[in-house]
Amino acid sequence: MLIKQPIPLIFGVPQDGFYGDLKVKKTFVAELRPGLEGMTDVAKELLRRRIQPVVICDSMMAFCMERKLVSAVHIFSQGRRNDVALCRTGSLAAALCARAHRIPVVLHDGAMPRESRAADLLKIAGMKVTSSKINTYVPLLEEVPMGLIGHTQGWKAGE
Amino acid sequence: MKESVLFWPVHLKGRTLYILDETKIPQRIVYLKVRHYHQAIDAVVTMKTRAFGQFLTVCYTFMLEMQKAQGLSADAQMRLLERVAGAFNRSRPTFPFEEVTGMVLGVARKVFGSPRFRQDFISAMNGFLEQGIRQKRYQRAAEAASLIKDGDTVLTHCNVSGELPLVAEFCRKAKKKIRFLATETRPYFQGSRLTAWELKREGFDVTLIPDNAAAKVMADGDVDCVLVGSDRSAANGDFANKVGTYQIALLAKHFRIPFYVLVQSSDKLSSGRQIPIEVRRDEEILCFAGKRLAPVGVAAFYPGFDVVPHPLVTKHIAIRPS
Repeated sequence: MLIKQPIPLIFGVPQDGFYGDLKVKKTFVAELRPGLEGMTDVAKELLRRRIQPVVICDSMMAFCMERKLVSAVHIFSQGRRNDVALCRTGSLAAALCARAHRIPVVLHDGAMPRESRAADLLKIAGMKVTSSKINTYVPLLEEVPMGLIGHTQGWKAGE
Repeated sequence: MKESVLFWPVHLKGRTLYILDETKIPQRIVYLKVRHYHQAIDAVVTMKTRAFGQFLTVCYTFMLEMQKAQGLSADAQMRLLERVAGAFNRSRPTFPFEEVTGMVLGVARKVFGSPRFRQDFISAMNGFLEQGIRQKRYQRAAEAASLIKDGDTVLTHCNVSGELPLVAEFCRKAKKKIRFLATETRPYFQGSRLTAWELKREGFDVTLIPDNAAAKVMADGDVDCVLVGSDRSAANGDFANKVGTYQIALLAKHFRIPFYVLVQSSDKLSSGRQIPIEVRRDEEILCFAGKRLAPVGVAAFYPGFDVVPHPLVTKHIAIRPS
């Protein structure tokens, strides 16, 4: 799909309230391997609200930012401790890449990610991708320093 | 040294070209039988072969067509080579087909006056590939191995056409114990299907991670260096590789982790800004093995490559043109 103007990027699984505040026609959604909750659950919710989801792979965030296609990055936390937010793995990459490209990062409360087993990485949607003998590591959550966050939930949707 | 099947994935035997179908790995090791240049181009466009495999496919396809061109005049043979070059140049945008076909046509023009034009061309190309390219790839792998320290963990992305097991083998011979973290490399899973598979198959320590875990493993101190390949490079040191490489390079810079790249030096383009980026079909992200993964109505955006600016690179490990 051709993207002509910067649009937001959603990395993670929002709580329901997030969607109601999102006043855009189109948004990037990171697919969220290995469970693909971005491509399925988040995309489905966006479609229901007549917002066009444009799915990208988790590795494509920096490319889209560098090409000036991303207006803001939305990440979602499971909790906060001191000066860090506990987020879905990949949120740190999203926030660091956003900072490198001077794109605002907005933190919201997130829905709890589905637990992924290490073996899920060897499959996609239940279909085998590679040898089951390969070791895998699938960390569910990671810490994102609050210093990387531009706004927390009080943001105006569509900014 | 034992080579991964991905190290030299194309072979010419008589009038048939055998191209390793990389999309079938690891389930099966299957070679496509190619007897006409149109079939070779189809293998490139459908990504049955990629990266170094594309380079070999181009070189061997010229040789294949010359094998078959026995009855033609030297002029007609030259015109045939130019037709093949044109067809490859139009096939995919990011890989430097024009550079490769231009180099092969240069070889042909050098021997054009010879009474044994056809045979001399094939022989010159064989020498270029076997004594030139193969040896240079060995030298490049040895140089990469020399940068890796005993006990290091190396993060890699996509697949370096069989060169990573060679790097690991050089380390093993030097009694250095190393391990690899391989990103799965969506949407085609070259990291899962090719890199992790070939390293495991050759007995090296490799762990597969999702593309989104690169920052996590760096933040946890689990990565000592990054080593990736490249599809195209520019004179200023910028290079293009599978999309996701730029993201990893930015993260490596943030965490002060050395970032090494295996490149083919080129001065045809002055900077990475001039490298065209191929945008592929939505379905390649939204479907797998013919099954749709996303709800109907969902769109996707799939840039096949990205460009890493040279300031993010700690060292270019180069094959230099002769």
